[in-house]
Amino acid sequence: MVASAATPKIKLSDVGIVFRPRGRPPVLAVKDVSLDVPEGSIVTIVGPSGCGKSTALNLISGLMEPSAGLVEVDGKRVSGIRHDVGYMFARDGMMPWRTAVENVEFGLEIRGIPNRRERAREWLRHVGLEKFETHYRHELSQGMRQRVAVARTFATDPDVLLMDEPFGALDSQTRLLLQELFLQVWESTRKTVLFVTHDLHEAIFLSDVVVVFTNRPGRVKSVIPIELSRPRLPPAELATAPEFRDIYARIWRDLKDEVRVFD
Amino acid sequence: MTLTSAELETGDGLGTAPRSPMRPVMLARIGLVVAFLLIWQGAVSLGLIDVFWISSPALVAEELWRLVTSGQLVTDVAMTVFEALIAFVVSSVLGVASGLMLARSPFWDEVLAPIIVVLNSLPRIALAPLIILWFGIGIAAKVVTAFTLIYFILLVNTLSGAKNVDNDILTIARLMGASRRDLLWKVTLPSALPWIFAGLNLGLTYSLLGVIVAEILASNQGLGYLIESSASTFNTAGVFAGLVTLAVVAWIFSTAMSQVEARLLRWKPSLTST
Repeated sequence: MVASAATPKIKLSDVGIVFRPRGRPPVLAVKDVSLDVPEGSIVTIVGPSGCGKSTALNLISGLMEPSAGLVEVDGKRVSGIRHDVGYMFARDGMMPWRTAVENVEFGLEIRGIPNRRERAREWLRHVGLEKFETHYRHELSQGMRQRVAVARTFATDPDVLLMDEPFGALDSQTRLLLQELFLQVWESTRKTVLFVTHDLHEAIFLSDVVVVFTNRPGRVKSVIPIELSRPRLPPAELATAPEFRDIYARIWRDLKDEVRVFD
Repeated sequence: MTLTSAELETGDGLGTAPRSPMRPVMLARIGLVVAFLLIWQGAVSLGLIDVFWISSPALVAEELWRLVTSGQLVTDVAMTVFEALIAFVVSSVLGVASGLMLARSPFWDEVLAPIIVVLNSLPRIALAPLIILWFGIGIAAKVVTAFTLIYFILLVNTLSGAKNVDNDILTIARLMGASRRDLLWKVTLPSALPWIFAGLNLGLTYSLLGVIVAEILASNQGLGYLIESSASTFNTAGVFAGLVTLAVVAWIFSTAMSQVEARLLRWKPSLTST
């Protein structure tokens, strides 16, 4: 759906997902979803709760298989868990028994990568936590934990980043800081990112393309290119720009009807 | 005993709190113990209680000195500690290993769960006579008696710990390419460590319990034997001497364990913030 000359990094074609809970009728969670994520871009899915946004991420990581359709990364069908994706969600997923730097190091450690301590330190510096490398999880604030998660995600140099509301559990000020930090780190790596969020500001601020999902079963309702120049203004400033407000209004118009179904 | 547990509390902080040995709490503890010993000694000296049944601090001290100089105490302590430690190490290793294996096999976990509950709720001391029948009065019977107590504690604790691993952490580790082996050693085991240590603390206490009970029932060596043989010859001072020694051994065990625990679980908020 997203115009792109080359093969898209991630491609979903007519994907459907049916959940079959034991002892209850099957649920159609996602239906006929086709979606392209071009290499080096950030595509964000927004949609009402339960519309299968997170499920889409699980398809790409290989944690889940589609009931219908095709999921491809680099033109190859996804089968089984992929180890070249970075995954972040609202909970930090830090191992409490490891220090900040050891958490960042984990992925490098199980791959047996040399100089991993230095690399992990460097990533902690990128997220502004160089003074906290020997701290344990309980000694860090929620925002710091999520910074560790950002460092951990980038440290293994994944091909694709899957972000499932990664800043959703943060207070609004910390969230703004982390969005800015994430984009800054992303600018230097230009990874392919598929992002899921409820926060329209976040979606517009980060993305090249915003995809609006319908209410369950989740389908693609609209695909909205975000034609704002990069590097972007900080989120708080960007929010006052007229182009931003036009895009916001456009996305909200599509999303409103889907959210309203629950009223 | 009371004095030393005070030392333990001040000593195992992270060194951040100022350590003052003359804190009021400490003084009160010393005072209580001294008062207790004085009342005991006084009551005996004044003839208020019968020294034959109750002994006296002076007689106990005398008996302890006799046992130390004759070398008997060292032999008995060495035997009891040796048996308890063997039982503790063997049962803990097997218990933790079994717990981790069951955690990986939901089928066998479901099959064995009620059986483990029944075995674990059986008063294991009731097995002691049978164990002595099978294994004789040597070291083996003591180790096996303690094993029946410790093994299940460690198994159950390890299993609960291993089942409580954070799903987010597992997902992230798997996506990063962790093998089953990595998951076991780098995720499940460290994550279950607090549960395992809760089991180890209990297990250490039970190792002494199992060994002492078996020694009391049938043996010719060890602290349990010392206590039992003193009692059977109406040597109450000997019984108290054995009990005091046992308390010291138990205290050393638990101190050593909390040192290890503080080191391995230093990432736990509860342990660092005391």
